[in-house]
Amino acid sequence: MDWQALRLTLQLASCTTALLFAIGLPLAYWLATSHWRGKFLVEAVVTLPLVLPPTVLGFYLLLALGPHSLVGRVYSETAGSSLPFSFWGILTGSVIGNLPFAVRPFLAAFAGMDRRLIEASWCLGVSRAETFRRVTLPLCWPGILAGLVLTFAHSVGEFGVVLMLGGNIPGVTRTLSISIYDNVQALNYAAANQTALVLVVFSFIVLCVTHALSRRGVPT
Amino acid sequence: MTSDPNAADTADHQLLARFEKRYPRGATITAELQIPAGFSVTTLFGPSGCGKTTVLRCLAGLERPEHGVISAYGSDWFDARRGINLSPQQRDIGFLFQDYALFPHLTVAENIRFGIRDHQRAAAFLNELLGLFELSGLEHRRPRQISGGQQQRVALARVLARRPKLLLLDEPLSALDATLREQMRSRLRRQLAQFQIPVVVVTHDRTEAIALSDRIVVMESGRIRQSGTVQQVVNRPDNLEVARIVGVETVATGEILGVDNGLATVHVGTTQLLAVAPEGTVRLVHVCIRGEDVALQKGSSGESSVRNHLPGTILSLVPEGPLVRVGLDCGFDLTALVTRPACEELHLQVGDRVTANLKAPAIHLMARE
Repeated sequence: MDWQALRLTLQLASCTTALLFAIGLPLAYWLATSHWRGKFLVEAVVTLPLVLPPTVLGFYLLLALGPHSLVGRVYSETAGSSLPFSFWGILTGSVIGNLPFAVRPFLAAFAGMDRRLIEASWCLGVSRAETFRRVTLPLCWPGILAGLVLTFAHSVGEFGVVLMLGGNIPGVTRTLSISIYDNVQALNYAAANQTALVLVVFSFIVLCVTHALSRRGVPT
Repeated sequence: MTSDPNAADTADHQLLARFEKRYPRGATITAELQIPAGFSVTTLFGPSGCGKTTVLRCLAGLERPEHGVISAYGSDWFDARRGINLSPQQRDIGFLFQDYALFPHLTVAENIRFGIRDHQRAAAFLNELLGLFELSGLEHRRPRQISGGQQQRVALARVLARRPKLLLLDEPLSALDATLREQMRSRLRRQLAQFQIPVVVVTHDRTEAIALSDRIVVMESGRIRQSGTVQQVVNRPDNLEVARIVGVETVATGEILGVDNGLATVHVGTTQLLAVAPEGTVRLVHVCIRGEDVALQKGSSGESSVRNHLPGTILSLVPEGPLVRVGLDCGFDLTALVTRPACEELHLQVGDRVTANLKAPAIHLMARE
C-alpha cells in the first residue's frame, strides 16, 4: 500500500472540497437567483469539465498554467516556483475539474428552495445575509452536504487532469489513481489490486452516505 | 414659500401609491391607491391574472415599478424619478403569503418570533399572540404538524408580531377548505381590527371581498376599473366590466323613455321599469339588478307592473350554498337569489308563474354608448 499516495490524495481531496465550498456556494447562489441573460454561459463553463475528457482539460490547463502563459509567469515570479508538476498545480486542476460536482448539487438545492420563504423573511425585516444564514442554509443543507461528499469522492479518484498537469512525482503529485496506473505499468498487479480495492470500498461508502443524506431532506 | 400644514398632515397619515409596473412580455399594471392610517380593509379585487398580486408586491418592495411614487405615513418608499426604492426590510410591513410561507424547519414559536430582535419583549408578546390566535400548546410543533387553519393563524401572528405599519394579505383564505373559509371570513376582520393598522387584501373571491372590506378596488387587465366603498362598487358599478367582475346577476340593455321627479321609466325587453334616474341626459342604458334585491311572490299581482311588480315565468332553479339562483323571464332575463327556506315555502318549480318585486333604488342604470 502506497501510504504516501494515500496521504497526498486525502490532502488534495480535502483542499479541493474546502475551496469548492468557498467558491462554489456563492457561485451556485448567484446562478440560482440571477436574472442576467448571459447566465447560461457561466453555467456552460461550470458544466464543461463534466463532459470534457479529463486529458483535454488537463492539457489546456497545462498550457494555461505553464511558464509561457501569463498566469504561469505571474505565479512563478511571485512564488518562485512553477505551477505544473507541483501540488498547487494539481490542486488548481482538481478545483476546476470538480467545479460541476460541487456547483450542480448546490444549484439544485438553491433552485428547489421555495422563493417565498426568502421573501417572507425579508418582509419580516430580516436582512439578506441573515436570511441566507437562517432560512436558505438550513433548508438547503442536505443538498450542499451531498455536493461536498460528491466533490470529495470525485477528487479522490481524479486521474486525467492530475496526470497531465502533475505527472507522477512521489509525495508531490502521485495520487492513488496514478499509483495504480504506475503499478500496472510495472506489472505489479498485487499492489495495484490493494489500492484499487481501497478505492472501491471508499466509493461504496460515499454513495451510501450520499443516499442517506438525500433521503433525510428537510427535517419534519 | 408657503405650504398648507393640513396637506402635509394628511400626507403623513396615509399611504399614497401611484405607479406603473411593466413586464417584458407586454403586460402593464397601473395602480393608484390612497389608504388612510388606522384600521381599515382595502381589497384589491379582480379575476386571476389581473395584476392585483403585483400591486401588493410593489407595495411590499418585492417588485420594483418602472414609474411612479409610493409614500407611506410620512416616508418615501419608492420614487422612480429620485431613484428611491426602500427594500422590504425597510418598509415596516407585514406580508401574508397565499400559502403562508411558514419556515418548515422552525417551530410555531420560532416562526412567530422570527422577525423580532428584542427577545425579552418577544417572550411576553409571543404569549399574547398565541392566545389571540388560539395557538397555545402548539408552540413546539412544526408547520407540517398543524392544520391549515392553524398554519394561517401562525402566519398572521408572525407578520403581526413585528407590529407593522401596514398589513398586506395575499389571498388570505384561499388555501383553506370551504367550511373553514366561511368561519374565518368574519373572524379575520375581528382579529385584524385589534391591531389598528391599515390592511390591504388581495382576493378573487367576491364573498370574501364583500365580507372583509371597507373599500374595494376593482382591477381588470392590469388597471383599476373602479374604487370605492363596498356599497358603491357592488351596488353602483361604473361600467359593464365592473358589473361583471363584482357579479351583478342581471345586466340588461334598456332605454330611458322619460324622467319624472328623478325617476326614470326604462324600457327593458318587453316591459318597463321604474328606476332612479342617472345624472346627465342619458337615453341608452345598462340596467343592473342584484339577485338579492329581487323579491318573489307566487302568482301574479294584477296589473300593477308600473311599480316594478313584474309578472314572469321561472326558467331555472340552481341551488348555490344557502341560496337558490332563480332564472326568470319577466319580459327580459332576470335573476333572483332567494334563500332555500323561502324557495321551499313558495314551492317554486320551473315553469311556475311568479311576480318579481323590485324597489326603484335597487335598479342601477349605467350609460351605454
